[in-house]
Parts: sequence; structure tokens; C-alpha cells
Amino acid sequence: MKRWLYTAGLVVLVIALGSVLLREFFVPENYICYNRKLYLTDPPLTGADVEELQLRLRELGFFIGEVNGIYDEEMVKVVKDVQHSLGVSPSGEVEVDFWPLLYHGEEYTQGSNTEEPPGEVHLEIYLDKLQLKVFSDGEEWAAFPISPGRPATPSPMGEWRVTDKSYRPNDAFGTRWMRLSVPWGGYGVHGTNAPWSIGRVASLGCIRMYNKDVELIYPWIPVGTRIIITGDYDVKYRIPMSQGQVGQDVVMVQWALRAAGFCPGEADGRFDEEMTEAVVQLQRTMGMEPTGVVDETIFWLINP
Amino acid sequence: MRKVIVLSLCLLLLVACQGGSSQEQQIDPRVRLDADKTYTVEYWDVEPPGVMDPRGEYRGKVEELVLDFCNEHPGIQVNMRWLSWTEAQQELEQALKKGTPPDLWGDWAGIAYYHGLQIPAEIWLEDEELLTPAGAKAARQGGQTWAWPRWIWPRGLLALHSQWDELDVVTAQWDWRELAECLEETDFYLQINDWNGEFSTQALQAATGYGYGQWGGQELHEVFAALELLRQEGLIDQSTEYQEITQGTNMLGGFAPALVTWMAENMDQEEVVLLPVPGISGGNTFVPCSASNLIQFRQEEYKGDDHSKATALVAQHLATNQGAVAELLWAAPAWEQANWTPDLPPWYCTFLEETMEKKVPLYSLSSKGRARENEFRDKINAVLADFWAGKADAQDVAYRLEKLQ
Repeated sequence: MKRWLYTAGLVVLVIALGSVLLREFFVPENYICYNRKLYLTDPPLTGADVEELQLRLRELGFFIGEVNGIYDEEMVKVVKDVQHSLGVSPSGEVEVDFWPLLYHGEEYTQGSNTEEPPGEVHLEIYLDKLQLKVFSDGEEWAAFPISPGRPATPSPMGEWRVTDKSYRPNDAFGTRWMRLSVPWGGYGVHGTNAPWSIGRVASLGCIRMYNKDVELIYPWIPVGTRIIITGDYDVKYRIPMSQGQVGQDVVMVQWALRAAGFCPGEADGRFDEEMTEAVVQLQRTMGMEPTGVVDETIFWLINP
Repeated sequence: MRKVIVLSLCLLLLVACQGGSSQEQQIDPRVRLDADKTYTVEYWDVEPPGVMDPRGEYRGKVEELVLDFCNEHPGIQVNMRWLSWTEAQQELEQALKKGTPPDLWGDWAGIAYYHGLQIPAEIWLEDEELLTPAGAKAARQGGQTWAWPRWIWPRGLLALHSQWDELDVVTAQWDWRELAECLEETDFYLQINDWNGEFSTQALQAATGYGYGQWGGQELHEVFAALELLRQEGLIDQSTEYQEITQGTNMLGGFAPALVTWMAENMDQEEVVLLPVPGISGGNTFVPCSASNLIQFRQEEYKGDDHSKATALVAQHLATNQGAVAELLWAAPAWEQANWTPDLPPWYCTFLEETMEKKVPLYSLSSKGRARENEFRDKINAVLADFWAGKADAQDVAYRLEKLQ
């Protein structure tokens, strides 16, 4: 009996210590961690923890109802939405480990420069490093974590311009949105109501940032700002490729033409006259018929 | 009497005009540089595209040569301007029109004589024997050495070394029949690019030793008869899909020098070989080549003989020290003592040495000559298309080419 009591005491001590350590080292300071599991009951569960959950989900833009501390069917639906965006099984139940995810990013402090850049700004986004860098007159100024597109919905690599900007009501695009000049879809750099996705490949192709980061850089980036996105995912090529074609494969060929010493203009995914001229110049240099078409031979020579 | 006076005056005027237009006659090569003066030489060169200079070292190597020169000659400053591959020629033409060309122009188009503002290299050349035979040919136009040749690119047939081992033939000199036998024995084929007569021109140069405008008679007929035989036997493919060489079933012909550099740099260097273009049976075989020269210009507002001499010193230093640059471009230097110690495959060095020394049909061109050649090349497409499609036989083609020249 005595031995059993010792063992039980030890287990309690370990759990308590573990809990303290977890809070101390892995959990942001400013959020409340509740131990109760929330799920649909009849009558529904009520309490301060439900109220806190509603407040947080409202902040994140998932919950728009009344903050009443009742874990009802509406809350189950909202929690399922959040779980879906987290990429976990949408059970509609709130376990203890759900809470830290809701505050992911709160502990993140902008380690990089928060001063407004003095020179001409351009952005470089490195998909493989999950990072966005701000440059001022060509010098690195600040860096931020991002969430780029998933393998099935990759972010567009290329050299883009910001075509328009807008404030958002902290919906799926967070609080700020900056559209890119990608010709094959609506891609942008924006905030997020799913901060837990930052630092992972999770988006549908846009570049997600923490709201506080996108809010910081938003005024630095006028419409027309250059944004270069690089990565190393496999691209499917359509060969032969000719003027009028648009797509990620065009961007890769534009970069390869430039590396080969010819000038197809910005790598903007549009096979235009300038790109045709670059192909013609390459063909002339090789003594070949100047068709302006990227055929198997040109593709082999420039090796995108 | 009156007629005689008028005629005499006209004659005098003509002589005076001739004297004025040939500025080079007034340049004294023995002029001394002013030790208290700093001469600033404008030198324009062209950055080759990555396909020709995959490691991007050309610019650095040339700048190194310029720096060496400036260290040796503190009184001469060289202002370098780098032009893009695609816009360089246009820039030069505009500058020539304005009468303000650079003092020194790095030409890549194989042209020896450009313009009336050109100062012939011959004025300054003390020992022309230092030029390789190919270099000397590259720089001469109309009986005068106009340019400072830099390097020479040989043309040939590209094949894989492994494939070549299978063919097991020595080809210091071979003819089309021997090539056909090799191809038949091994089930290989010759893949050619004859756009603007690239391949046919090389075949004619190899057989005759002459450039366009000078082909005719038996040699012209024999070259096309040999090509007709290859075509009829299905040994030639015109698809220009160069990448098929990696499959080891074909040889490539009719390409520009850029492809040799590109292939050698992007494939295993030991794996690619350049074979000579065959000649006609019983005749001499030459190595078709192209060249790159340095051209010295003066401006409308002449800067003086001492300035021209300073420019010539720069040109001489750059031209005669092109070894490292030539190696970079898989080319042969145009000078005997060009510090050329190439780290290239032995087979290729042998080929280049042969190119430098003998049997080079290189014929230098003026810019007008190059323009006429381009016009000619544009015209021969239709003739050659008929030939390769089997719609015209060798005799027809030879006859039509003779008429076009």
C-alpha cells in the first residue's frame, strides 16, 4: 500500500513538473492553458475556458458569433474549421494540446529590422528556406518567416511586381493583402488567421506571413515593388514553347536564357516578344535557324 | 591649253583627296610617347553569352591582361567598356557614324576591316612572323594586315569519344566516301544544321580552301555529289536535334563554335571529340575556321600619332597574350608566343595546333564583305532546302550556287 502511494506520488510530481516545464519553455507566456477537454454535451459545457476560446477565435477571424462562454454546435463547427486549417482531423473537440496552437506566433518577436528601409525596396522570397527578405537599395534589411504553397499548390517562382494592395478584416488573408503580377492566378503576399501555419508549407500558393509582420512591411511596399520568388520544386515543361505561352515553365526558361547570357526581360512567366528575341539570339549564336521557338534542342542547351 | 589646266587641277585635287582619306599614311610609327602625358585608351569589348563562356571568366581574364599592361605602362590608362552580346554591333556602328569609335574594338565577327577610320595594324607590326599562319590570314584584307588577331576557332564534326573508338579510323585527312563507310559500318548517321548553308559552307571551305563567292568548277560539283550520296543512302539527318548526340548514334555537323565550347563544358570533356570536315577524294582538305580580332580606330577628331601608338601598344599586348582567353573559349591563339598552355584534352590540342599551323582556308572579311556574305547565305536557303528534300540534284545545286555568287 505504502509502495503504491509512493509510486502515485512520483507520477503526480512528474506530471506537475512536466506541466510547469511545458508552460515555461514551450508555451507563450500570455495565453491561458486550460486542462478541461471541450466537446459537445447536452446541456453544453460552459465556462471561462469556452469564453477565452471564443475570444481567441474571434481575434483570428474564425468566430463571428456572440462571446457567451457556451460550447454549442456553432463552436463545434468553428473548431472543426480551425482543425481543418491546421491539417489535423476535424473532431470538433478541444484537447489540452489545442491551446498552444491557437497562440502560435504570439511568442514570435520580430528579430529583424523594424525600421522603415531608407532606399528602394525589393523583396526576395526563398520557398525552400520559408523566408521573406526585404532589401533596401540592394542591401538586406529585414527577414521574416513565411508559409508558402504546398507541393500540390506551389507558390509561383519568378520576378513579380505588386499590382495592388488592400487592408483585410483578418480573414483567411489576415489583415493585409498585396497582389502579385502572376499571370496564371491570383497570388499574393498576405497575413493569416492561421498563424500556426507559418514556418510550414501550408498555403494554396500565396505567401502567408504573421499579421504583425505583414502589417510592418505593408507601408514599405508601394504598388510596383519587385518581388523575386525562388525555390527548387520540379516544374513540368511544355515543349515546344512559343510566344503567347504563359506559366511557371516559361519563368524557368526565362531564367535559363538569362543564365546563358541572353535577355528575355523579367522572368514574369510571359513568353513575349522580348523572350522570343532572346531565343532568336541564342539560335543565331549557335548558327541555327532563328525560329524563336524553344524546342527540345534549345531546352537541352539552356537546361532550365 | 585650258583643258590641260583643268585636267591638271582635277588630278591635283584627286591626289589631295586620296592623301587626306588615308590617315594611316600620315602616322609615324616611330613616334615617341610623351613621358609627362597620361594617355587614355578607350577599349570596348563584348561579353560573350554563357553558352560560349559557361564559367563566365572571359571578362575577368581580359581585365587581368589590361591590368598587367597598365602596371607595365603607368603612362597609359585603359578605359574598358563592356557591351552586351546582342547590342554590341549596333553600338559600334552608331559610334562609327558619329565619328567617335573607341580606340580599340574587340571584334567577335571575324572581320579584319571595318571602316575608313580604322588604323591598320600593319603600321605597328614589327615582326609578322610571330603570327600563326591562321592568325595572319585572319588579319589580312586586300593585301594589308588590318587587325590584331586574337584567336581562331576551328569547325568540324562533333562526336562522342566512345563512338569514335568504335569507328576506329585515323582522320587527319579523310574524304566523304570514307566518312560514309564509317557511318554505314557502325549504323551511325550524320546530323547536320544547314540553315543558311552552315554545313554546306564548311564542306566547301574544307574542300576548296576558299570562302563564299569563290566556289565553282569541279570542286563545287564534287562536294555536292558526295553529299548527295550520303543523302541518298540515308546517312544524313537534318533535324538539328543536337541533344541526340548523347545517345551515341550520330555525329553533328554545321554548328557554330559556341556549340563546341558548350558541349565541352557541359559534357565530359574527354567524351566529346571534334573531327575534321572531310574533303573530296584526292584533294587537299582544309580546316574551316572563324576568328576574332582587335581593331584599332581613330576618331574624326584625331588624337595624335602618340595616342595611336599608345593604343597600338595596348592592342599588341592584348592580342599577343590571348593564350588563357583562347583556352577558355576552346580556341587556338593567333600568335606563336601567346602563353598558350592549354589544359584541354590532348586530341583537341592536336586539332587546334593543326588549325594554327596549316591548311586553314580562313579568309578575312571587311564589314561590307560580311554583309554580302549574309545576303548570300539568306539566298541559299531555298536552294539547299530543295537539295536536302531531294527536289534538286548535286548538279542543279552546284549550278544554282555558281549563279548566286
